[in-house]
Amino acid sequence: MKTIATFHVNGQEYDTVIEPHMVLADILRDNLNLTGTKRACSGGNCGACTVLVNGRPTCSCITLGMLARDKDIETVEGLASTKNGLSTLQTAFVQNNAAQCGFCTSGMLMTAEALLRENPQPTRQEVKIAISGNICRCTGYIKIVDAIMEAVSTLQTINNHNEKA
Amino acid sequence: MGRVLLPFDYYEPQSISDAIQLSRDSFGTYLAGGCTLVPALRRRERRDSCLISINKIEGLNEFYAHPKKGLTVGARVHAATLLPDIWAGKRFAALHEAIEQLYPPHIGNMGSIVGNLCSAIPYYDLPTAAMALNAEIHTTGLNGKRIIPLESFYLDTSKNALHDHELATHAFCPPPQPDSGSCFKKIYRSRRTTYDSHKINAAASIAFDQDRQKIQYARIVLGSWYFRPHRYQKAEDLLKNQVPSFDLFTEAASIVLEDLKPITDMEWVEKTRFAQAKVLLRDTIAQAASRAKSRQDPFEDASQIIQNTK
Repeated sequence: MKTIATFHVNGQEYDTVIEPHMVLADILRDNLNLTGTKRACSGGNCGACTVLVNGRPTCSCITLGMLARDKDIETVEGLASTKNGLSTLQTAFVQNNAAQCGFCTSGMLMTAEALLRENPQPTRQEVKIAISGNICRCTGYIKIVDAIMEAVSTLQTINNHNEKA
Repeated sequence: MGRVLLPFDYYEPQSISDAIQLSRDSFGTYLAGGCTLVPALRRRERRDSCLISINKIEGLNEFYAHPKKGLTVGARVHAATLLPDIWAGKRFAALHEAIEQLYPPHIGNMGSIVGNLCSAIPYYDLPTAAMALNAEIHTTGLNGKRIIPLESFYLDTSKNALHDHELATHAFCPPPQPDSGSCFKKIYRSRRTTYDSHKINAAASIAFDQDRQKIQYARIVLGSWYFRPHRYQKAEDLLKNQVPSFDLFTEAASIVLEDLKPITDMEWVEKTRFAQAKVLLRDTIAQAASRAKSRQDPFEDASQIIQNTK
């Protein structure tokens, strides 16, 4: 039973033909060509497929597309902008070499993005808890946590600067 | 795990009666968050030909936590909804802690609490916590409405007491006693080999008498051991009318262990599990008792002073 569904992804509206058994990760990758979101365990265990649905980290591999219609979806493609380039979080990941094979990176970035929006000054422990649902098979967790903490301090400096200005 | 789900029909009814009617006509399965159902479909453990989403039904997204009126959670309410609520955290701490410790944490944003309770998966955490809080499931079916206590809700692994086409509309936890506290703890070990031990979870709810000297009420639940969480009334009876102490909690934990049966024939696995369960139970009861004893509610204290002066 094919239907035309509307998805709000990264501030844009997409109309696409989907079937009820399609999960969000497949729709993003195959229908909308947003391949930054990765498919890995397909069981909601590894977090590589994390996207933000209404601002909350969600495993897109076990979310039916039908349930994500008409909700605000953000993928890793939405973090960078054409005007400013990579986001502060992405820059921190690059500078800290926080990606080895890079397969978990998009999920890590989206989870960290949600954390920093909710809690702009997390402790190292809070960061570890937040990304506990994202598995890095290269076990590069220390650099990932370092990168997120660096992004926290950079964002704080920017905020202080803006307040003074 | 298979990548692709097999095709199924999908409906989004707008009311409970429509959902029940659709379920009767098409033998469909109700879908809330899908965190248990979708992976099961992927693994081909289930082959549902029709899913009925309850996510458009008004009234199932009700969430209400109050120390005097209890906790009501509609079937559509995601687990993470409870986390910022102050009363859920203070008076229904066991459930709050179980949600906080959900793994992976993303599940809290996707899965519904009622869905988690209805899944009847033996190692899930929320049933253990909810049972300690004396939760009940409210349902609507072809023969009207029913209230099923969580203790009699689980029949077997993945089997609950819901009749065909019956829809669990919400879960309810009654208001806790005045000087009470609850706690949930788990020991989590991922299972890497056949002989590795699983996780164990425990929850307790303790209430003191008016003077906060003796335990008046206790509810002890251990989960992830059999196909459903179990209450241990012998241990609860031991705690009643006793002054709390570390030795008393240890004895209560030992009584629970006497009732437990090994679930494998691997001796060292069982030894480890029994040792873990004893520590876990003792600490859970102690924490719940500590919360009950140190509980302060300025509003309640003020009302009591007003009553006494009258």
